[in-house]
Amino acid sequence: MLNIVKAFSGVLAVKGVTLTVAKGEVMALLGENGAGKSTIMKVLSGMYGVGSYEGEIKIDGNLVRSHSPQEAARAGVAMIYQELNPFLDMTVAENVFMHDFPVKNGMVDVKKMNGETRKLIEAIGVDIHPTMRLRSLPAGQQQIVAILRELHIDAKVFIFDEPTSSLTKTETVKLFEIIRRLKSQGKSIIYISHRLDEVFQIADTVSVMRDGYLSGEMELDHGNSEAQMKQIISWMVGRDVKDMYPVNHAEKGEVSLSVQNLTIYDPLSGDKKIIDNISFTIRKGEIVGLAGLVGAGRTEILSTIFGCYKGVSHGTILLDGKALEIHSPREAIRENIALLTEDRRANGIIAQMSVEENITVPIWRRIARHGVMNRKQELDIARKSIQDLLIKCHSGKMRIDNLSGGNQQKAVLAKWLNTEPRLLLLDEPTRGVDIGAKVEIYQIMNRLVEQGMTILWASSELPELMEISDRILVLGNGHICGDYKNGEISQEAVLALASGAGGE
Amino acid sequence: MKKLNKNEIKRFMQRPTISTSLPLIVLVVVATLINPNFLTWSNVTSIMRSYVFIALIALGMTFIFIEKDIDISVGSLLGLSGAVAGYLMVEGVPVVAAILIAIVISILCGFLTGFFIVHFDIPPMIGSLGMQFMLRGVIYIMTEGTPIYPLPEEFTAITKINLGGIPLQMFIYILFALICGFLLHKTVYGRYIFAVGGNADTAWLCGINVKFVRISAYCLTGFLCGVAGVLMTSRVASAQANAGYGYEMYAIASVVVGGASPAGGVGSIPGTVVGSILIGILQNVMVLVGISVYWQYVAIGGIILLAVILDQNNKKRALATASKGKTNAGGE
Repeated sequence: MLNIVKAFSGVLAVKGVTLTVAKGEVMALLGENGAGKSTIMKVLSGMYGVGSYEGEIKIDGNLVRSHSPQEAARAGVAMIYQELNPFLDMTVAENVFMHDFPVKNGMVDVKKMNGETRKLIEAIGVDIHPTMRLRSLPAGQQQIVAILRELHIDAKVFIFDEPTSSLTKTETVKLFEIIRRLKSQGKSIIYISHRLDEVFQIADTVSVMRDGYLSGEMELDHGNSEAQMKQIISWMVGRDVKDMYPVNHAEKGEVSLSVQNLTIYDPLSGDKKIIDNISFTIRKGEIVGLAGLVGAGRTEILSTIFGCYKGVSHGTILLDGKALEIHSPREAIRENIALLTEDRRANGIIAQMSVEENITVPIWRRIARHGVMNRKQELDIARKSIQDLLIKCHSGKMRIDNLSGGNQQKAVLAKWLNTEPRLLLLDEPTRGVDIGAKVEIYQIMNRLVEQGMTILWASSELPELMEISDRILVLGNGHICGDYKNGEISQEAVLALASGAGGE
Repeated sequence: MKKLNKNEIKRFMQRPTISTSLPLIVLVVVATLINPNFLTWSNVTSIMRSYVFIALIALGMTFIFIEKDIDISVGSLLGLSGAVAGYLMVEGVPVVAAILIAIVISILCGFLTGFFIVHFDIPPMIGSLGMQFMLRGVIYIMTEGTPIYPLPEEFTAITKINLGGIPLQMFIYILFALICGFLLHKTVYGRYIFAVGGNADTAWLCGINVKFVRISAYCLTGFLCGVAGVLMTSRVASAQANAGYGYEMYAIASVVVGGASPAGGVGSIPGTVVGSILIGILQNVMVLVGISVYWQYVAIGGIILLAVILDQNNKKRALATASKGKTNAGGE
């Protein structure tokens, strides 16, 4: 009666992992970013089809060999995505029956469709009408419609990937009720989340992944959650190489950046606060890290300071004592602020351009005379950057996307350093970067603060964030729930704080 | 050493100006074999006279393509420019003033197209389709469907000027091609065009005014449409209601054949110039061989499709090599 799930792959970021979920059981799958959770889920949901991985997937003892998400869905695997992509302008019932409209006399049998949808809605006990347009529903209810769809095609295994990241508190409570109901109907549930408090509310068993391995499994015994949480966190964090992190000896000067009463609203729903009235200061020569879970508002804080946040925010930001009025990246650059964004491909590089050109984008205007590019000066600057940051490329004329991830990242960093920033904001600077380049980036950061720069950065990799930063600010529930100097707090404690386990 | 040379040759051959020149030479040879009249001076100047208008528009279209937009209202705008100039001159407005007003109105129309597309964030294909229809409608209202003439002598004389046997409009084209080439390949503005088309988000984060850059490309194209419209009206000595009909496709064909990518960030003025020559000659050859105008539409449409498919394939191959980490180490 067991649903056995097994995925093994050498090439992908997962190395010989076996996971098992029983009927009527909720298994929480935990792990830091890059631990391999999403790879496993892509195998399960058919995005990585048969042939792209080794190992086997069994549901009710039957081997499942799916080549596509459609086939996986037919086999009974239901994936409820973190990012919803329903058909917003169609009705609830149409969304539920999207892949198999009931047909009568060559036309869609609307009556049957709406009737059956109503039955499904009643079965999980929610207040939705089948003929409502999806656009009119809040995010939480849209997610419920996605669940209805999977119920309709009689899925056996439900996978929830960070389902609560876009939900309000009451919606989360509702979702948990539905998950419990699915459980009682004998469905198997895999629940992926960063939020340990949620996991302890909903899960029966926990599996933790790290670096592509399964680093630990346990059954949750709700009487002893304190000790169990500690165990889980240590599985997630693991041991670390000590000398990976160079020590920073920069002298700290007077206050450089001061953020006062900053509130940031969700760009999609106007009243939801991502960041709620926070204040902090950073001194010259300091590296300050923002710690927090996915969706804690790290990126939002950085992009608000840089003037590229798409939603509403208010608060006062002072740099070297001067209040800033920044509404666009252009104004931020003028104030000598630089932001290295988290998604290099999406908005860090210009893939069609050469390394040289990429390194000088924000300063083109500065190195032009009467609007005409000064190629010689551009080459000199690019060459110097390539030398200074040890960017490995055969020639500066190579297209930047021909470089390795680490060298691309160093080129993007070089681009921003050429704007001569006073304040450097780094969002996940080591994402998708190999170990060697990571260490180089740490060293560059240290060198920069020694020259008097101020660095505010965010990283999902707690070990590096804690080792490199002089101070870390822990974000949780929109507040700063901890401000610690390097060495004052353990990774376990930070994770506990950020996930809300350390008390409100 | 040998391998290096091979790589260099390969790269040289892949440059759009070169890769477009080859079919061009083949086309010229074949055309001359089929019809010896092809390479006569009178035929060459006739190609120049008839195709130079589209070639002018193609210069502007190159900017628009590189910054990852498209403008299919250019044919109508060319017609409008001519209609405005003709209308004013018939009403007694001095020639120079009429020409300037027509060009200014064209720039404004280009601005409007760009403004609608950029400010309201609508797909450029649809936005410029709307403008295409509206402008054509305005032309019909102004001309009431019949040609506007007679136009003043001194106006129609402009395109009768020959310098060393080469028509004046050809010199105007060369002048604008040089200016556009300089603008696109040597100035900061040109870099912005490439950056916006390559990755608009990155460009914005680097402090580039993306909206301004996009709209400015439409204005530039509007200007060139204005010039082309005036010249064309002078040449045919009347403003026709259907002037410029379908020219957008010829302009797009010239740009795409010249190596610009509809995916943005790639293209060049020299490439577009060669592309324009190729399409101009092709059109001429089809006439000489006696292929009907209707079949020419089929041919031009097919060429655009083919060029875009080839571009797509190239991109896939480039992506494959990039992800394999195989970099061509030979260069520079």
